[in-house]
Amino acid sequence: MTLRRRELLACSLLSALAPAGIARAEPPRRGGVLVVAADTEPRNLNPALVASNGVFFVASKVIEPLAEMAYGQGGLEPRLALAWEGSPDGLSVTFRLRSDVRFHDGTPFSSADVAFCALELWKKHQNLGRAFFKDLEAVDTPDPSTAILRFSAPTPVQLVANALPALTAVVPRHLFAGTDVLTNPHNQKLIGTGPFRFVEHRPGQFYRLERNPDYWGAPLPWLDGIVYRVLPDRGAIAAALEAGEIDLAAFSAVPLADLKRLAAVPGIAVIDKGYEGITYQLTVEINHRRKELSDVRVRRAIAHAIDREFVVRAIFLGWAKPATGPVPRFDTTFFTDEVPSYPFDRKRAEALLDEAGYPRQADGVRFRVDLLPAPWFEQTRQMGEYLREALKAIGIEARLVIKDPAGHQKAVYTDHAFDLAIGSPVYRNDPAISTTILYESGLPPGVPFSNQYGYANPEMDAVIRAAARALDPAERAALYRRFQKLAMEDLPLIPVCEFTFLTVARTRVRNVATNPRWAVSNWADCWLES
Amino acid sequence: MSTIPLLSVRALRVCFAADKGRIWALRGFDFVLDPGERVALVGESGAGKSTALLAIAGLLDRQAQVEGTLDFPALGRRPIPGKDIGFVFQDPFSSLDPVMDVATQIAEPIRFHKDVSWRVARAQAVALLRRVGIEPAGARARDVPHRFSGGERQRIAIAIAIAAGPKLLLADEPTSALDTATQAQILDLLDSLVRERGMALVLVTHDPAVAARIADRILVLYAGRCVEAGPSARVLGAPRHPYTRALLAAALSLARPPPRPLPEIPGTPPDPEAALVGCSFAPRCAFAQPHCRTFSPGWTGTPRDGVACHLFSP
Amino acid sequence: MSPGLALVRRRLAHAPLVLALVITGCFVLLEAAPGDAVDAYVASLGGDAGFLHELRARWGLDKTPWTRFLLYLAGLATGDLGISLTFNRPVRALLLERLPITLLLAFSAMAVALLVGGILGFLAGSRPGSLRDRLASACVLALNATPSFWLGIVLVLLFAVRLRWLPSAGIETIGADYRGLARLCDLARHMVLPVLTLGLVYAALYARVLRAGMVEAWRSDFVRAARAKGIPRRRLLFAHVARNALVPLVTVVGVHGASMVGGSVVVESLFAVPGLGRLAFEAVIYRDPALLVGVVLVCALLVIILNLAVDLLYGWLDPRIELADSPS
Repeated sequence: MTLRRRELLACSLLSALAPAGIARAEPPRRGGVLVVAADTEPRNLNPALVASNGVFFVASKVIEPLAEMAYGQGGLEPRLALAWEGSPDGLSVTFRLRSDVRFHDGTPFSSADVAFCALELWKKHQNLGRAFFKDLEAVDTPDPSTAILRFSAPTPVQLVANALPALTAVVPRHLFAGTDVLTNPHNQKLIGTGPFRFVEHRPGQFYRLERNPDYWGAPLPWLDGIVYRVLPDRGAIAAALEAGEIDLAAFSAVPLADLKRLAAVPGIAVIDKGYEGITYQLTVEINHRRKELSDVRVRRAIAHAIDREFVVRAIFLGWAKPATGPVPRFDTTFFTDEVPSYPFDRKRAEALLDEAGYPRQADGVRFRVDLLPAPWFEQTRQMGEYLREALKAIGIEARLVIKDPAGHQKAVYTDHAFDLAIGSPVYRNDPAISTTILYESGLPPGVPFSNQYGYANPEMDAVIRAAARALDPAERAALYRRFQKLAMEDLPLIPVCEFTFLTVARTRVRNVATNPRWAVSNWADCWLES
Repeated sequence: MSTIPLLSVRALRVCFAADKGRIWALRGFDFVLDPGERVALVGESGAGKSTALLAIAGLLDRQAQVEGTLDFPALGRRPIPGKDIGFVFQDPFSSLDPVMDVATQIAEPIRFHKDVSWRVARAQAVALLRRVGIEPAGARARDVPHRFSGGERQRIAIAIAIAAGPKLLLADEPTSALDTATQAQILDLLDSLVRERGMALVLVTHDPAVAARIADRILVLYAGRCVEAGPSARVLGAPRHPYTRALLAAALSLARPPPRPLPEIPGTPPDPEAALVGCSFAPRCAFAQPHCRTFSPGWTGTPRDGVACHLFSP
Repeated sequence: MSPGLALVRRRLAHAPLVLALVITGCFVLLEAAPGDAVDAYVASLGGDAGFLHELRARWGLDKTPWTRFLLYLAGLATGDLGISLTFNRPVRALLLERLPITLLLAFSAMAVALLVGGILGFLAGSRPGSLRDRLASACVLALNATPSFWLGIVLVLLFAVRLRWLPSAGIETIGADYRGLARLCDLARHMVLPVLTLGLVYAALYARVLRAGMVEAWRSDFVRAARAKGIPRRRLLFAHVARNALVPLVTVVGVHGASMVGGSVVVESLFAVPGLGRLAFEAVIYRDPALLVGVVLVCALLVIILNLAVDLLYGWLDPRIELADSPS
């Protein structure tokens, strides 16, 4: 069992002094308003109810989780929880909470808030929490600074800990209890414990946050405030940066094509760190209901047809890495590269297809497929075009079907009306949170970013189930290595490359990318040069 | 003849640049007009009648190449369009500005040539409307052209042409777009106005009957030249040029309804792009002699009464 | 009753039919599109089957399209435009919030388009074939070949990035809290680039239409007749040539004025102007029927009003067009 303790002061100092990469021995300056670009305005901004990067980007500064990701050993640093410990039977996790914290409306934060959020928000309504906390039965609050999460089935504390950054944002109980939590006005007018207070949202224009003078992590935060300017057009974001109207654009809001030009502008830097905790993968999703594609040799042939290096170079302009399996390299706890690999080899691909019994017909085509690139990213769309060409080279004729987000979500994850799709699942710090769901069978249709591929392998299901209950971290890691091996042998979907986002910021913005979830963390230690 | 002519045209040649060469509209046109005289230019379409009229009015396109002389001896200076020369166009449906009320259109030449205010000009315009027979003039003055019939529009066009009191009125087939009954009324109106105001009139028509109705003198044009000229009675009663005879014959054969727009003469006029050798009518002429095709006929008779034909050469 | 008034009454009598068609059309459009509001929403966050089910129930998407349509109509009958699923706010509030800025953008752009297009078209059309015409026509051609987003980016790079005279996006200086005249000036500064971008593209169109109209007028008999009157060239140009060319120009302005209100998505996005165009775009992307119908209703109303204005203007510009024709 892990037990992590860190003193409050040590924590804030550490995070202030140990930024990844950029370590300049200057004392932080207090003051200044950071202006950043935002491209979406979520309908519900409450991170306790909606765990998504779009929400976190703004809300994480106002409402904090129990812990945040950190670079280095352990991978986590305390926020509202100081320490946590799992019981040997795996049926409970005890959190020791900060006792010196007040919400922005002045009420003190206590274990009652955690208990309320866990049971009423995370478990009942939160998009990720509903599945994750399904075994959560009760939360005991023996005293204001202790919360004990009780589970009906063994739950590894490692998994719970890994879920803390994304799934455990805490809002005040007294504002939500007894109300319809989903329509509560404080889903927009956020009240939290974070370093910044929510001031206003002018729809279509901006969000404004101001410094919380009573922050538990005083003297943090350094900034006087943060303004999110709503800039829906990516070209406009680049221009606003260059014009000095905004200081920072996160989540690769600046098109890759503009990066080179912007990076050359004095006073502007491109930062490729700070997103490791939310690494995305570019994947080829496969509908196993299609006879040809249910043959593993065909799937392997497709994998061999893809030149990952080329994808990285041409589509991501170098800002990505070839993927070896479903877990990204950054997660050293679980990652293994001892898995089958499918190097770019068209001859091999063609041989596999011949072997599978799909020779080239008179017109040179083996069979035809519908290919649906997801509209989420520029790169998923471009990958669609690349894959069509790559498949053509091995005799598979792909028809590109481009849909908007709702249409794609319905076609792929509800109606299964696709043969191949290009997806971009996110890895959330533990394979059990949003990765194994891509491989597990028996999920009802309609669940986004899950195995809607018609893939079912009892061995795979068994490994996934065992890992979710494995209390011993070593055993869990071993099971997930097995999972990765199986995933790459059976190849129900093809991981192509892993990518994180880029931040473009003016160099006067300091302490950027100080943790692996930086863009969606609280920015308490971020400061501005005068 | 002791009067100073109002207009003297000598050897007028007008051509337009075309893709491959030039299109000749007038190939040497001579014409003298006395003040108050009423002359009709007759001929087939393409004979150069309208070009002659536009050239006199100074309204030819800028692209037109003009040679020869145009003098206005009685005026003693270059004429000002509108002020010295009024022009009535053929089609009253297109020659009026569709979006301007008629009184303003009549008032424009008055305003700009008589140096009076718009108020005065408009008042005079209403009076003119009444004079040309539009009633009730005051009420209809503010109407736009499409509210008037074709005949009424031509009356308005005439009112515009005479508004600034010109000494010369040019009318290009002013009745050919109108029905027969209206034609007569318009000719009556022109006739009375010209007499009343002592204006000279040059009227272009393809219809000898119209010429007979209004003109003192007739000029017959063919292929850009005047082939015969003379007092109306003489030209219509005793035509000399074979073309004039053919024209009259064709017109008489069509005099009974239904009237046809153009009299027909066997053959076609010469190609306007070709240089002419000999008599231009020779190819269609029943009396053509071999020398007709080689030598251009000279003018026989006086400038005001004569013919250009080898048959009548001394 | 004056012909103008009769026209207004007739048009307004047709309005309910137009609006009913618009409402039905929007609903059918979004129904026919694959996926619903929940699909669009979860596409950005993920969630389990129960999460989707709960959302559908909460958003009324578990009901049949007919029921939803009738419910919406019932709400509409009481003046309730419904709730936007995308923004989780009443549609009415969203529209009221965005209408003024949209109208400001559209009408300013139209003014710019008319001014610039009018000047260019007039310069070109006042002497067709002249050097002045060729220069003005070259400008128009260049403008016309320029996509609005590209023009916008160029303007931003020049005036916001290089020269830093104007803000690159937005409609006000955030946090400045200007009041009164200062606020107006601030707004005006922010609107310059979007208005220019939107206006210049239409200016090219207007210039072409005006020039074409003037060229046609120059060739017309009535201008030759007017020339025979010996009136000054200036009078000929303004009172006859340009005046007649205004009729086709007004037609085009009427047709495109409406699209300026609804169709400036590109400009609204580029300059982060919170207008109706983006709202409609988002309503379609996020499958938000109430919002789409709301935006389109407002646009349809604007179109009806604009067409009415254009028709009344026609009556004045071109008396050949009878306002009170067939009062059927």
